[in-house]
Amino acid sequence: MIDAFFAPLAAGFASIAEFWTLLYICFGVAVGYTVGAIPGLGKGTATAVLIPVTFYLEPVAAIGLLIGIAKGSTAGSAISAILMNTPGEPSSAATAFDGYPLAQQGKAGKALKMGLYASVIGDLLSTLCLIALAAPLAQFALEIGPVEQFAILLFSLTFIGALAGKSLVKGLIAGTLGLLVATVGMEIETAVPRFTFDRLELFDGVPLIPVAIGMMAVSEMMLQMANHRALDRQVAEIRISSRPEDSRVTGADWRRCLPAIFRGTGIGVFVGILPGLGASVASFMSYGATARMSKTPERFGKGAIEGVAASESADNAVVPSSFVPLFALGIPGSVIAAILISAFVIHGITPGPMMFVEDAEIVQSLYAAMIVASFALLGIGLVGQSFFAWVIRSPMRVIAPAVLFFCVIGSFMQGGGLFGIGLMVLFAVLGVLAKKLDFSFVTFLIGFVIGPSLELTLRQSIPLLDRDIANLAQHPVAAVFIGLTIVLIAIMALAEIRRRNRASRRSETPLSLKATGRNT
Amino acid sequence: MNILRTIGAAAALATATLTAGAVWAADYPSKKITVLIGYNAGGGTDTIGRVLFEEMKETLGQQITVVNMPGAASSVAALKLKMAKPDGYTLMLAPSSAVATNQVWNPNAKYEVDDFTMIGAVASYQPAFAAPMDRPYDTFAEFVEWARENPGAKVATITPASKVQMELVAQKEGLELNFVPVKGGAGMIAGLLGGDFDVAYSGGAHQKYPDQIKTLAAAGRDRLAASPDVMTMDEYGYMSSYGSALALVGPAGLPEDVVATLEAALLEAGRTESVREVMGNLDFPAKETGAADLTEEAKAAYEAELELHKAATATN
Repeated sequence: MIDAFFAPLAAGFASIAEFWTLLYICFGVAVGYTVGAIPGLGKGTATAVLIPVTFYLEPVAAIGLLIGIAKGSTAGSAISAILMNTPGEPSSAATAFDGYPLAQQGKAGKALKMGLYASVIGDLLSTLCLIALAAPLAQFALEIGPVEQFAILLFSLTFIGALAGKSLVKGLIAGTLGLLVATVGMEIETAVPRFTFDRLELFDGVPLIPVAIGMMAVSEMMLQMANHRALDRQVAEIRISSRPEDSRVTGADWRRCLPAIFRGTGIGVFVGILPGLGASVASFMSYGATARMSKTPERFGKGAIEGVAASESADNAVVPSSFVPLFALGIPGSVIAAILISAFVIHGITPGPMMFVEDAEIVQSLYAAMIVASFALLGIGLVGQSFFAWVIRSPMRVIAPAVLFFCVIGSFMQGGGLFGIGLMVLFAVLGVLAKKLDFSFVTFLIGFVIGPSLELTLRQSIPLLDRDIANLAQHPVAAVFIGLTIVLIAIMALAEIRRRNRASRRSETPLSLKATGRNT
Repeated sequence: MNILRTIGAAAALATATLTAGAVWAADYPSKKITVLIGYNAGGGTDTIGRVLFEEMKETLGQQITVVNMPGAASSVAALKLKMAKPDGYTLMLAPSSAVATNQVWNPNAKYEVDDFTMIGAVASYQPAFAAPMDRPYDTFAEFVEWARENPGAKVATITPASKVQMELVAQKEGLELNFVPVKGGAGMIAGLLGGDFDVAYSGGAHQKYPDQIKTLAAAGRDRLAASPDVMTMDEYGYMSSYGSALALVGPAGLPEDVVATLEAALLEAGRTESVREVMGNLDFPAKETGAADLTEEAKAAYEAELELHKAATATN
């Protein structure tokens, strides 16, 4: 067994142990890391630009280059998320929830390093899963049909409870609004446009990047610039802390983060093998799950290092595991996997089960290339981070306009042109209101990210169950998750009722008033 | 009104041809050409496009840049193309259905077939109805019999047109079907391989799994190149949808000589070995169509789809 695992891999390493192949892999990681860190340039742009270049490369070098971009950009996008609250890729939005507060506390170095380590560990473990278990994992993924996916997504919505902040009700309101915004776009079955106001740009739904940038980064900058005195104080705060332990990952941090990293990797691998969910769903799920399991969920959103680790390990774990359905079945599990299909086909390889027979050597070399890319990511990431450190050394008066500039570019590039900028401004206003009124934009974004998949799988589940809930008995996995969801909601409701009772007794306010009145 | 519009369009076309034709006659193309693709990088259309343009670049002697503009099944890109200057430097590579039939189903796809100039097509799409291998039926007729005895068969559809096709079958045969909406080809294949669906509409990707998925009927008018023995929906006595071709399209009023230059370059590129190989790997059968035929086909497809749409609204 062990031999069967290592012998082909050794052959793979031998075949890529050539200067140019290794260079292209590292080049891919470096390009990916850079474009990931710059909002507006994503892996989509980078691969689209480089696909023609790969025409002239050997298949392994070409595909290694593209895989390097995928891995690099997924990790690199944490940089802008942490330093500027502006996720470079949608999947890093959850990284900013705690990464940016950490940076504001002068712990940017710590957050960046932890993010990178989490990315690399998630990436490497997921790559090993792909190598060892591609065929059985793909078979397992086919068992997780729409009904099971719906139950799991529904379950993940209960994470809102842990992330709602001070008020569960406000958290639920924001989460529901997120679900509502997720319904914008063409209805899946009849192609009826919903809430699109005749804008063609909204047909495929509201794009995530302008929404996330507007709500998180722009609203933050608006609030800061509205208050000049606070701005000057920020200048002092954003500087690197003088204490060395704030710029590195300590043993205590590792103890906090390792469970989150392993959980995130598990969630990332699982989400990656299911086609259609994607890295954003994985990172939000992992972030939510970590907050849920935490003994101190109130720290999340204020600089909990394990929040960064949870999100970054999950989104990087998605990249290799999304190749499981690609290699084993020929189905792309993600956008980057779809681009890889194109690269495979151009080089005369048809992805799918036959690849292991017909192009076994190439598969081995690719596996080796993916492991090399994981380690290249670690090295390039550490070097790259010191480059990007200039951001934290600059005064806030310089940072704010620069961040806004990148916000505008990012929304323009990934939100359909000028329309994306308009969207960004709209959601920036909503973000300011949310912050002033203490509504959680985290739960809003969770609802918004999970919403489309939740709706699709629900719509699929109803006909698949023949419109009879009793048929759920044939889907034990789904039944268990729906049961868990109900139990969790009951527990949360009971806890909330008890909390209110306690509060009302303490303040001696009549219960009826408290139950209907504002809840702070 | 209609006559006026036709005259107006003809006049505009004539002026455009006269003025532009005189200027561009000899030196087209003299600068970089931009081609819009209405899907993300990595899809079938995009992949073939990139190889195709590598070849066309050689013949035309100019760079060709791809701009991916995904949205509403190529309708976003089509609207953008409609607004472009008809000088031959902004084109679109798309399934011909994007300009011929999208507007029937999508009220926001505000364009007509006449808003575009057809240049040519190099491949055809292979829409079909497919089923998991372990199901007891092998043809579409057998499926209908099976579905009669087993009410609530799960039918997965991607496009509104494919759903209407199956609704009309259900209505005619008195079947009780459960329609499952699916987004994109990947979910479709996963559902077929996992056995979640009893019948599914496939754009052609199912051909890669001959051991796990069987083809019951061709959804278009023509039999499938990959499985010529499988009958079409027409032949089974139901409504076929109109086939779609991988087409290069320009805005209305493209000068004739520009069309001719592009048509020749496109068809030549479509015959090269590298393009044929990639199309083979992606199960896109090569099928050459010139500018004139493609224009006819697009108009016929529009009329046919309009009929399908009418039949659908009549039933609801």
